Amino acid sequence: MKFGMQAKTAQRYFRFKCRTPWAHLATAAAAVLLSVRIDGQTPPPASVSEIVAAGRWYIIAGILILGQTFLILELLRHRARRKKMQADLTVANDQLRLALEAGHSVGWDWDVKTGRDQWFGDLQSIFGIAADTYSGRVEAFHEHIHPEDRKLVAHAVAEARRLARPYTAEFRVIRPDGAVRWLTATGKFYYAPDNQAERMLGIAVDITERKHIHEALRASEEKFSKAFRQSPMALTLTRVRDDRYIEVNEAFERVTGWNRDEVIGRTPFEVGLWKDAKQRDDLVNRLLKGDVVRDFAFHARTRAGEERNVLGSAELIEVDGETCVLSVAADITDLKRVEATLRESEERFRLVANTAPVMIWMADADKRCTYVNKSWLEYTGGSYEAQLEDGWVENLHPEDRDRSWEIYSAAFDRREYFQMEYRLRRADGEYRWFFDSGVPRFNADGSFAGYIGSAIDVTERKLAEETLSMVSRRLIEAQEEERARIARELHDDISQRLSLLVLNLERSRRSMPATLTQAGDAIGETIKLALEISSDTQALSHRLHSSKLELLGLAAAAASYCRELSDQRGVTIDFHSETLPNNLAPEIALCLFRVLQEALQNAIKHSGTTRFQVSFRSAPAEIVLTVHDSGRGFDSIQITRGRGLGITSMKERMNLIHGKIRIESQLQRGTTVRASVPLDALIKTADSAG
Amino acid sequence: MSFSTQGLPTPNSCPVRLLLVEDHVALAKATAEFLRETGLEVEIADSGKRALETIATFRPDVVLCDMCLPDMSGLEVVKALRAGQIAKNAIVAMLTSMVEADLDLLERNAGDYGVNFFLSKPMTEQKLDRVLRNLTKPQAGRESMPSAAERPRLRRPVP
Repeated sequence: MKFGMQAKTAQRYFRFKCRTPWAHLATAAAAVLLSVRIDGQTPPPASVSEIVAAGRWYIIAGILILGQTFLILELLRHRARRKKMQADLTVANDQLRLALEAGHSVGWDWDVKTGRDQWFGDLQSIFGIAADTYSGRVEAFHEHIHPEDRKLVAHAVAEARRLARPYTAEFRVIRPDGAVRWLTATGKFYYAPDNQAERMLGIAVDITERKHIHEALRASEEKFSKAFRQSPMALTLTRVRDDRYIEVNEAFERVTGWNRDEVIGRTPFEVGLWKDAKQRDDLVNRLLKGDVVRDFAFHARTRAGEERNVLGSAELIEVDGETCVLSVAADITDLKRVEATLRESEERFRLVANTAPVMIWMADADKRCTYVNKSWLEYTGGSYEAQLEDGWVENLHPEDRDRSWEIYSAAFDRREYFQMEYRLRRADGEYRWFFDSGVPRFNADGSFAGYIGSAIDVTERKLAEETLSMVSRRLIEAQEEERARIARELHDDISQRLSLLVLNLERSRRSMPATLTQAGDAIGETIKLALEISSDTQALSHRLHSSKLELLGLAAAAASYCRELSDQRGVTIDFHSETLPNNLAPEIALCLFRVLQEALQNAIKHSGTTRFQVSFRSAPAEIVLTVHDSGRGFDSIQITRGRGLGITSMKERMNLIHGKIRIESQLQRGTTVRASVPLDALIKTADSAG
Repeated sequence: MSFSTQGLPTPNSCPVRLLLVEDHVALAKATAEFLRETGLEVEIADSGKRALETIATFRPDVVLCDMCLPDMSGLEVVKALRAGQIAKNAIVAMLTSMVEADLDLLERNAGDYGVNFFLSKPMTEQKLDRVLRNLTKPQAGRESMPSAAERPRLRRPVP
């Protein structure tokens, strides 16, 4: 303001200053002339009338002198005012400059006629000029403007000048160091009486930071806009004031079936989206109270009238000064359907599990039981909770617990199928045998989920097995007894009678006259035949029940048998034996002997070869009998059919002495029977000493 | 073959005493007869116990023993004989029902058992020869070795 007033005063003064000197000179000249004229013309006044007459000129001179004095005083006053104004102006200038610098602004004073441009203010940061003021051509100013904006500025300036309107423009300037600053300039043209623009004054403010902020805000708004539009969830903006839609995104359109245009400006109820008005009101009220609404489930109706389950969250935000509700919602109808299906499936499983006659159980990845079916509960009589985790083990027979847990645990670690048998206590305290098997389960992503298994009552089978075992044993015993009996009969009865026969023949031969050589020879032949029969009978007897075992020991008896057999059948048997312990229990010797017999008979019958290897090996902890041939072999299916009895009998025998028997065979690659008996079973006890 | 060709002791020697241990009655009798025909003096014992008793009184030169006896194994009889005082150096032949081939094994270990021979049944001339042949050889430490006058007299087989 001050400046404005001073400017006006300066203007006036400017005009006045020009004229005053001449005025001064004119009045001064007039005064002098008058004084001279007065002085030069008349003698000194004698009378008043003369004085009055002369006074006219004096009055005029006096008036002129007074006038001159006033003029001089006025001049002095003006000068003083002028000085003051100048001082004020300087102060004002300084203040302005400081203000401009502080505000990162630049002011200019453009003398249109001369084209001289004076800049002042924050020249450093805007133009990179290290000075307070700068005086130059207006063209220099144009050089600083960013090339793209020059036209704009020129146009704005021209327009303002032409139309005598305030000049405004926003443009960039480039500093010498390459930095770009945004400026907003306002200015005004001053015109001469002839309406020619004389002067332009203006101020330009550095708005670079503000511009950047605006850019950032715009970018951010754009980002938000984009996010809003493209979000896979349905987003809506509604004004709290009147509950009208301000904005909805594409997902919303997709889920509801309504177009953006159809809903903007309308309320959800008008549109028909929300079923329950009260629900929505509650929601908005909660938001207004300051609550945050999360995972809010409600029913929405699509354009087609279909009802969907929706899960949403909402918040209050300010948009353009208005409080709005921003809501995010997802259509969970399908999810809910899947959940329902899953529940149904689980129900079905439970139904099956509980009505099945077998026991079903499940365990998690940490071996802890997580489920048992009704069957289990009914059988054990325990509560459901008591079975979980490791509780189920309590129902097992104490003797079976460790072993069963071992098998279970080991399989778990290997994620493999397992089976085991244990005795399970029934509600009434009785133990029954169960066959339990489990398989690992995996999640859809392949991770290990635990086990599922079933247990079935096999008590009958177990009893049958035991009975069968017992029967087998009895059969074997009976068989041995029978053989022994036959052997004995052969030995005691037949053999003896044959001996008798031979003796008689010998005696007959003796008493035959030497001359009857033919008869003698005939008897001799008969004796030979008889001896053969005797020998064969003995061999048969030994095959059935050999005292050789006791007498000769297992190795020798076996060797003898092999020799007999090879002679009899015309085959080759390579027999090899290490030294076997000589305190071998008779059952073991007999068993191994029988296994040898059975294996060799089978080999001779089925292998198709005529060479066999038999060996006895004495290892520190066991005796091993091996019978081998390189014949046509057989596959394991056959082994369980057809020849079953022989092999079963071998297995049973080995069982009886706690030994193991393994038969390996490959088609065309031969067969090997391997029977082994552990050491601690070998010692013949004092009690069983023959 | 007959003994006459073997340079056996003269008929004037006392008979060789042979103890036959065999529990099968008929066979024992027949065998005894068979043996007696060759000039041996034969006693029969039908059990191990009886055999040991008879050894004490009969003092056989030869013992022909069945391996399988009702009360004990023939080997045990031999063991008792060798451990005892009477006839401890008699020739012992075990009669087994083993085939010839197996006898080799037994024979190899015969010394362990205190047995001189292992024979298989039935008894034949040949086997008898084998046993009795040894009687012609003087046996070291054989008890009551008969003098030339005491040697068993063998009757010639009746033609």
